Amino acid sequence: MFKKLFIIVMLFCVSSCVHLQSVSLTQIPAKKSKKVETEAHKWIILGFTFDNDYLDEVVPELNRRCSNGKIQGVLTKDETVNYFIGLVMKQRVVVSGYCQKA
Amino acid sequence: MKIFFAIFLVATYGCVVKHHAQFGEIDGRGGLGRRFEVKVSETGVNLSEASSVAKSLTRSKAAQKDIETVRDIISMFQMGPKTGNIVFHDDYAEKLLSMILSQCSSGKITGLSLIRESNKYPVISGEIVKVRGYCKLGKGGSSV
Amino acid sequence: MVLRVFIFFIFSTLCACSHAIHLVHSSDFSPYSEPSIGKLISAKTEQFTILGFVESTAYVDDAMKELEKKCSHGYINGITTQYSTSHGFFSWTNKILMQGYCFEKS
Repeated sequence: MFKKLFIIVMLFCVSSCVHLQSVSLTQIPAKKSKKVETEAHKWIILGFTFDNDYLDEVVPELNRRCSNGKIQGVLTKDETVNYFIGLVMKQRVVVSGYCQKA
Repeated sequence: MKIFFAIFLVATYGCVVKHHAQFGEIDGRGGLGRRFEVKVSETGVNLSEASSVAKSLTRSKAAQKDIETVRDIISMFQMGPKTGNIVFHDDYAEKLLSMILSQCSSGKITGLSLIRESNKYPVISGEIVKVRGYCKLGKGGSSV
Repeated sequence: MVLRVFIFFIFSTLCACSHAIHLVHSSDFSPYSEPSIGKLISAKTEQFTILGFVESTAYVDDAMKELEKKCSHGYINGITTQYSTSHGFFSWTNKILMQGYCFEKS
């Protein structure tokens, strides 16, 4: 009984564990003004996912936050958040950069 | 059990696994321009799934053991880090840069996103490198 | 017997050299330049390793130096970096392929 309770508590403790899958960084400008950030995510239940189209909204969203400007120093973090022993996961891509306006 | 396995195979047909995603600089001055996409792929093979299918085709325990032995011997010749399934040609992504520039002959490319992913099917998979970007409008407002 | 022979032929084809592309990275294309006035350059380096025992990843720096040498009087943009591995018998070869467009400064 105690063993089962311990296992359940441990499962909840390791839930929402974040794992960094990959990271990339572009060249950083000398003038770092306004920082803009956006994220795109997708829930994965039982490991089923059929496309990565959720990433399409990242570039237009960042462009909206820095309209008529140039975003440099782009940091991309590709993360996986595990909510329940790999059965419920969230794939999250966080992209941030410095917005330069003329 | 076999019916469940068959349903599971059909249900997971075309599952996508994302290995790596990267975004580049975004130059929104004067608009992003025309969106384009370039994709290269190669067929990957999953050795352990292939051996499982081969084993299921025979009831003879000796043949199944032979298949396992062959699988283990082959895997000794295919050691090393793997992303997705193994492929037999590694030059399928070499033309990527030329393909990107053919989509935008002006060279005004921005908002690049590169995704390395696998489309999983039973035994085989599609090992894909996908590039999406924006080709900024050239002089006179025409996209090139 | 026929099945065994068939399976043997299937698996013998799977013994061919296998590879895996891990990632492809691209830099940006600024300053914007028409590719027709530039030159496509590439550099490829490899590192052979037995069971992954290696002391450094200097082959990556060597690829960058080789690329820079091919465009010593200009700038390179649109650099794509491909990191892949070719598998072997208890050993493998890590490969880096860097490509870019070189624009010589006049």
